[in-house]
Amino acid sequence: MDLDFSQEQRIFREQVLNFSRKEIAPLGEESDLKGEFCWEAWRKMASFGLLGLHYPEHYGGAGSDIVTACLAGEALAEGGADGGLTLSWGAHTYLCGDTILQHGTSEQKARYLPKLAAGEWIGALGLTEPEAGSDASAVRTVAVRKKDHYVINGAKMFITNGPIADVLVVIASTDPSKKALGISAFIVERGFEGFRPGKPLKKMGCRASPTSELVFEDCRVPLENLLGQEGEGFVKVALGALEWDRSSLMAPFVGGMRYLLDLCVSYANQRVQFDRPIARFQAIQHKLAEMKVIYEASRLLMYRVAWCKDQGRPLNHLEAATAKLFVGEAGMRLAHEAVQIHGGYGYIQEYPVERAFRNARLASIGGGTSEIQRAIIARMIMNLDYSHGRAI
Amino acid sequence: MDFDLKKEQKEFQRALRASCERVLKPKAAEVDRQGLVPEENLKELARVGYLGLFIPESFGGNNGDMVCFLVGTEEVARCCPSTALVAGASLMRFGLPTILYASQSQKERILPGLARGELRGAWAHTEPQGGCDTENLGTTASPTEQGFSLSGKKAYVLNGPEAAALLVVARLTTARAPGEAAKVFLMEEPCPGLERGPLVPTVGARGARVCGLELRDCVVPRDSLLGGEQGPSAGSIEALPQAPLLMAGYSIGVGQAALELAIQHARQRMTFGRPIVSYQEVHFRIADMYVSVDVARQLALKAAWLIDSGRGSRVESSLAKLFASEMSLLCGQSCVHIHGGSGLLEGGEADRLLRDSRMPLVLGGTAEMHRLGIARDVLAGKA
Repeated sequence: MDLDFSQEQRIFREQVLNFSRKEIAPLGEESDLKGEFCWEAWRKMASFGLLGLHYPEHYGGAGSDIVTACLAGEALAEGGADGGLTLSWGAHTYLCGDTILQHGTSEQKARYLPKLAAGEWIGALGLTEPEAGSDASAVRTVAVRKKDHYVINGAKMFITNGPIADVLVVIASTDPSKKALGISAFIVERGFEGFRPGKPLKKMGCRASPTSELVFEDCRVPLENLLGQEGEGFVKVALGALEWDRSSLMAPFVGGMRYLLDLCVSYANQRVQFDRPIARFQAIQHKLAEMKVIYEASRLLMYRVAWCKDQGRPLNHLEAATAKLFVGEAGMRLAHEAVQIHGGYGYIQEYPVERAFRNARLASIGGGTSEIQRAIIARMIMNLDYSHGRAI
Repeated sequence: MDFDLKKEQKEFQRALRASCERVLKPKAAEVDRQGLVPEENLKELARVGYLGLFIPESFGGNNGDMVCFLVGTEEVARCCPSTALVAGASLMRFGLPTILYASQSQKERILPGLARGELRGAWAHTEPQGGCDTENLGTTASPTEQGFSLSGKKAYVLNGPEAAALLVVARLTTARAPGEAAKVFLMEEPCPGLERGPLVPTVGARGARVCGLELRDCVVPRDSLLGGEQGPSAGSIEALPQAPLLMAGYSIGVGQAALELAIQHARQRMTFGRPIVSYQEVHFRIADMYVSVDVARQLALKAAWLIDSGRGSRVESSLAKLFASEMSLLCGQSCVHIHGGSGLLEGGEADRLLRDSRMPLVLGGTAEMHRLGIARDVLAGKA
């Protein structure tokens, strides 16, 4: 057992933390209020080298391990980076970029990864549909193979980075009769004929991360843009992406917990009521202790998955679902307590806790709801074959 | 970074698990009913090396580390919570301070018996009037020509009825400052003037026997003052980062046992033509139990690993104990609930685990005391 980060990792973490505090965090409030993606922050993150950390160097990455990539996500949020920005970062880096890295041909990787790593192109993953959320095998988007291209028809929903994405990994059925085993993955470029993103959806939180529908009307996709083999789109590509969604994408949520805890400590020490700082009241102390427990536990669970990935352990769904369920649920409790400690000031937009509270809500929904995580965990620890579908 | 246990730690865990399942588990219900942990349970734990953990080899131990203690305590508690409490309290609450501060001759007299499972030790701190408040103790130690004379009352002393050696906390009447007053005295049988009160029945872990003590001008030799004049205060022993890991390991073991029992029952019990495990309400509850046990284990392993790396942190140990103790009660309750009516029957395994799951929230510092300690460090920017 060894839960230490290497010296190199610790130094890098400090650098990202300082970078986030100085360059990124101050931009968050405005982009959230406007509900707009912050291109300035994005370019800064790109030039800092945060957009493809774990991609190999010849694809424009830094060749870092996953733990280091998670340290970056955590430190960004710990430094106060907006939750919308870090969400876009996760969808871009992992859900799109890493999926291409894992399943792409060398031509595909050479074409897309350097541009993604440089931030020139923005990535997205198109999996969820209006009628197919966690039941991803029920996708209705279809891809029909023609002589020299595929034709995709259908719609996707709640796609992070949808309105601004240049490269999208899109999941569609090439053989509906085979259900999950008939699903394939494609790389779609923004300019492909027949593809258009919908208007940005107005959301409760993570507002600086644009989300939209995607529409495919006889969208022509070259044959060489099939990602992986036909039929692997769900069982390999989408499940792999979901594992990311349930684990390393949690890193900013964990960093955000520390950010909130730090805010609460300084507020509780300053805010005086009944002639003493509220930090002296037991009720406040107990809340801070609970927040600390949640943060430490979340951190361990998240890095455990990252470490499993670095060990080359294939798909760690149990660890990932555990991390996702705990971070999502406990993160809401933590954000709730943070608002509570701030009282009225926690409820107004001038204080960052209000925004953090709204942003925290997503973690127990995106990438599979808490209920789906419980179903996965139950199925895995008990070998249940009836945790989904009709029998329930 | 490495989340895995070391090979030796895994081997220890495997051997201990086999031994607990073979020797402890079949007797667990009987231990609870009779309110006694039999000698052979401790002998077995000594045989597989649990009782020799962190006792130096020169005193008959195996020098094992804190991670082994933690996973070991979980394994013992998973099969027999009462035994885990008796053995764990001997080793952690009595043994560790003895290893750290006792004189060579005291260690030679005591530690080999502890490692062989022949001697039970006790930590006597709490008094009828209070527990965590170490500065206001009613028990006093006055210097005499031969040593000290101890007087006062102790309450709820775990292993009190059987302990052949005890660490007793008393206020030194000659201390200069109140903070230095609460000292620890190592008492070995025979102890004239020490009277053990009647057994105090408890809610859970009933095989781990508890009684009060009364000390009436109980004269002990000078070297009983643990560590001598410069020895540790009771507060500093209570504050050791190792201390909370006993209840953390215990809680994880009880939680794991409750989880396994709940799964077993949910698979067998049929309603409306199918096993109840197929209902979401049931298997989601089991998933929550699993996650909370897993989280508690990760937190506690981290705290244990920090101690083994020479960077023990009270806050990390404390938050592991806090989370684990709440988890154990949650699992105990969920297990009973999944059992429905049969979970309420006295003498059933679910009933026993629920009772066994309640005490960690209190013993070894209440959840509230741990929260206050964590908050103190968080507010000071130390955590």
